[in-house]
Amino acid sequence: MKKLLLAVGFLALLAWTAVGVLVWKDLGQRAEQMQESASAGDQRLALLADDVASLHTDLKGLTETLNGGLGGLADSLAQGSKDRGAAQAKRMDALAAAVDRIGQELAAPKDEPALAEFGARLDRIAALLEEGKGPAPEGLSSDALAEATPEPSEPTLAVADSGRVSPAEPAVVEVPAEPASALEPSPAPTHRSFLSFQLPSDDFHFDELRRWRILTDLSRVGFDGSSTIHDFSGASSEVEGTFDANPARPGDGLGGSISFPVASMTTGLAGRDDEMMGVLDAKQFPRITLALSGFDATKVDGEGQAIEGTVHGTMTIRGATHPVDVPVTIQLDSGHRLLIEGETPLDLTDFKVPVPNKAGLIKMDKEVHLWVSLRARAMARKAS
Amino acid sequence: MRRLLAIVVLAVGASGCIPSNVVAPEDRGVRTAIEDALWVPAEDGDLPGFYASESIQGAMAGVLLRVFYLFGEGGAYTGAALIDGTPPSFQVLSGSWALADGSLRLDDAGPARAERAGDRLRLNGPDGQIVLVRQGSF
Repeated sequence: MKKLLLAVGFLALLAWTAVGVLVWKDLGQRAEQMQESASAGDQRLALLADDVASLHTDLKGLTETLNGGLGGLADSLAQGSKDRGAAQAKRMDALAAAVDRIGQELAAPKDEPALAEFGARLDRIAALLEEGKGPAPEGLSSDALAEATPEPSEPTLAVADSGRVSPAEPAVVEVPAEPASALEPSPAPTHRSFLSFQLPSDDFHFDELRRWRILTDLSRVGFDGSSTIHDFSGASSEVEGTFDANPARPGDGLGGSISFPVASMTTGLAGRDDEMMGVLDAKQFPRITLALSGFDATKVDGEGQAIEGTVHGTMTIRGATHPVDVPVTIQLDSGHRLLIEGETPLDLTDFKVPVPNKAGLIKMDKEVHLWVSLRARAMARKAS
Repeated sequence: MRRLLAIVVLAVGASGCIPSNVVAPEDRGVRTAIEDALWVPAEDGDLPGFYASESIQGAMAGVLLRVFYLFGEGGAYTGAALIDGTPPSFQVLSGSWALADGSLRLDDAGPARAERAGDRLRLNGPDGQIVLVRQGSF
């Protein structure tokens, strides 16, 4: 029993020792492994550190590159913005000048442009202003604007599709084709009148220089004379002529003439008429003419469309020309015709007219009273 | 002496035979019969006939030179208008007319107040006034 216990004890001790040895051995292996692992980790860490360093360097380089690139881009954009601003400013100046010119032409007393045409031009200008807020589109030209405005002293800059500004490229700006003059008359709008005809709208303006034509059927020129026997009048109903006048500014641009045949004058007595034809030498000097040269207005009533003043001109009778001044009143009637009425004394001797004198007993006064009663109609404006 | 006396007597006598005919200032202008006409509302039977314009007033006077109408008894009409321009040109049309209570309608155009005075027909509308004179039959 004792031996058995000793044997068991010895075996247990051996087993315990063996186990211990094995454990120690295992621990050693593990320690080695751990150590090896630690070394490998160090290496990996070192590698990672190296990698990080490399990445850091790369990132730094990239950052620097980006900074440089972005800076350059920012500079380019700033320059582009500045250049676009300059181009916009030049374009706006040209448009403003065009609008001013249109405004002046609107205010000028000349053939009035179709309002529709002016409106369309203004709409186009407004559209151009809107388009000018962004990159200049193709077809927007400063050259066409310069038709009405001075051309820009420097070429504007074009903006390419990429948005980069190319300073070297000249401007290509073209306004849609438009008439050379905004005052070119366009077909007048028509409306259906109560007469069932399509009538153009009446565009008469009191303040406008127009050519006027004497309405022969509604006009008369005559004179009042006196003699020792009686007083008498003579008149012609064949007055004709044209004149240029602006009723609102009668002194501006007045010109033209009116005339009538001497043979058309009648005094109501055939015998007296025959003598008058002889005195005036109607065969050699068939017409009496009044050439208009100026007007001094004493009253211009734009609302009532009436004028008072003195017409200045020269009259030619029997081949002799002499200045005359005729005070007149002028009124625009309901038929849009000018009614011109006036009178002035005339000395027949100024025109070398031999004053009739029958044996000193029947004498005519050398001074007669010339009078006019004329109606004139504005002639249609000529299409340009 | 006798001859001189005879001339003086003749001159004095002649002065009494030849009246003064100085034109009064208010008569110097050309007057038309329109101003003295008495206008009454037009009726159906007043219209048929051929007319030419005698007077055009108002806004359309600036663009309309002359107008001619031939109104038929059956309510049909044809017309021609000389429109001012460079050069002036005629516009012609045909259609129907209807007159009721002194108001004349030509096709579907706006109504016009129609009045007559003898051989004259006066039409008033938004565009102005026109006086037509009957030109007789043909």
